[in-house]
Amino acid sequence: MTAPVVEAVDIAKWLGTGAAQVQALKGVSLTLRGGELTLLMGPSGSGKTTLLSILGCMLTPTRGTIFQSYHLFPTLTAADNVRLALDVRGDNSARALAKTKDALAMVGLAHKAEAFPLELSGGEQQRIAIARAIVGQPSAILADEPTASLDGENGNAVMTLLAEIAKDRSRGVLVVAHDPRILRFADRVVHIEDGCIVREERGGAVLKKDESDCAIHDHAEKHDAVQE
Amino acid sequence: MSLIYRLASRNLFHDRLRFIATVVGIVFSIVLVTVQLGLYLGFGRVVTTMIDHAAADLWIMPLGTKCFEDPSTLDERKRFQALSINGVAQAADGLLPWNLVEGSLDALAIPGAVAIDRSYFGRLGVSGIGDSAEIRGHKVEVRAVTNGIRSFTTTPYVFTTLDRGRTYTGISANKATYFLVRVSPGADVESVRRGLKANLSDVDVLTTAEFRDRSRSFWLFGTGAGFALFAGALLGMIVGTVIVAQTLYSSTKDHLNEFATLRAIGSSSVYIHKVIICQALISAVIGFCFAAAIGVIVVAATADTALPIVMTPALTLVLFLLTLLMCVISAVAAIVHVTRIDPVMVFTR
Repeated sequence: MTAPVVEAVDIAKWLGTGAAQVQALKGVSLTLRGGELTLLMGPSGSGKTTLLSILGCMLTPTRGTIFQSYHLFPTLTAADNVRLALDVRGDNSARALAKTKDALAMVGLAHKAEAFPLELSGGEQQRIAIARAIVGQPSAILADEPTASLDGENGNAVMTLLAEIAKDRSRGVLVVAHDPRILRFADRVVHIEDGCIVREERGGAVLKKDESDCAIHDHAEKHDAVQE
Repeated sequence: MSLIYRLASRNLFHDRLRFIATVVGIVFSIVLVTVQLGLYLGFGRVVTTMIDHAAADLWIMPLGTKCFEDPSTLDERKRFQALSINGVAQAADGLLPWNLVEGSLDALAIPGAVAIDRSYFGRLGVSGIGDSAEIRGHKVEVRAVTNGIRSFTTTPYVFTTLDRGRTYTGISANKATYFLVRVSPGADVESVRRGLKANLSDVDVLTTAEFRDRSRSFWLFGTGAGFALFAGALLGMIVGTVIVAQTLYSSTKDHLNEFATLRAIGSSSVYIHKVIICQALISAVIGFCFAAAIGVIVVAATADTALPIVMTPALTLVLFLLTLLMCVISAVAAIVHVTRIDPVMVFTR
């Protein structure tokens, strides 16, 4: 088993204030290992995106992030959108340009380097977003429903790409997903409901079904919680 | 090369209408400041025109004289006392016109002859050499014409001989407003000044530079004119800052999602602040270029007026730095706003 690239322990999160306050995460622990694509599945409001966003903000220097709606900069070319991920971290050397070309080539869009996002299809935009996420060679890649806005063909292409990236044993990929059609790309599937991880599967076998996990942390949250 | 400039410029030019509004705000503000500070410089020069063109190392004047236009007089005997001081080569009680474009200085020796500036022809009711006019009931004739010797008051300068000048102004024959001292070659101006002060009572003895400063200080600050000009310049700065701040703030709000994306992909706050400041500086440079072009036109248009707006390289540099400063200050509100961005917002859209 490879070393963990992300290890979150006992994450709790409250959203809102006063009477409207709800607990989005109730003491979630999750380990993401290199060389595997983990699917985080669950119904709407279960806490998937909240967990992903917390992981994303905790891991600023070492993660790449893929958003549901791409969030490409419309006024920058595809190449500049990718290079931006390096530029914001202070890498604006000639090597950054080479890394950008490599990342675009990896997602199969080297020929679209000078195109603006509006000139690209939805699938191409998501692949540019993936290139942006991987250009810094992060150990963890977090993807928030990367196929949500795509048709079946483009969704498959994107997931194939992410699965390919996850073959690298130094990288772990965590994908938040609704769509059961992408289950086949996952090495591991983690189910979350009501802010708790309720089930974990690997290769069809159930590895964990620990209902008590949340109950324990419901009591511990007062001192461990990440409160808003 | 960093993408900061590219991001900033494209954010700016993306919304052309707002960009135009920003530039117009900067141009309005900087032209206003240019006019005020240019007037300040012009006023400062005009009030010392006579002092600047007088051939004197030292000026002897009645004690407490505030400016060149001060009508207090000295007794002629003081001139002779001054001439007796070691190191004094000359003590004149008049000065000569310059920039003669028609006639000659010698012609002023003709009875009733005067020299006036061509810019006053209309006001004095003359059209050139040979025309007659009256000064306090005395008939005078234009025998020489100068160019660019303008008074900042409503009263024009008229050059004539000393005696006739005294007659026209009603000053006694033994009185003068100043004695202009030239020191002997090799003499120390400061030593001569000390000698004059020690031997002449109730007088101020100033170098040309000191008299220039005193005169300028009186007109600019003693009368409040300088404060009014500075207040106008400050108002221009405030208006400009508010306009630029408002447009930068709304631009930042429109691009909030993009700034949050920057945060979410690993950008530091400093990087985002640099983008906003870069936007402000690009606006500043473009706005300044337009303002400078308008400033050149304004300077040219006022060059021949009684109070020209003066532009110097130093003032241009100051205005440029002020423009940059104004725009950077304007960026503060946008920076404060963007500092509060939570990158999580990107995950929820």
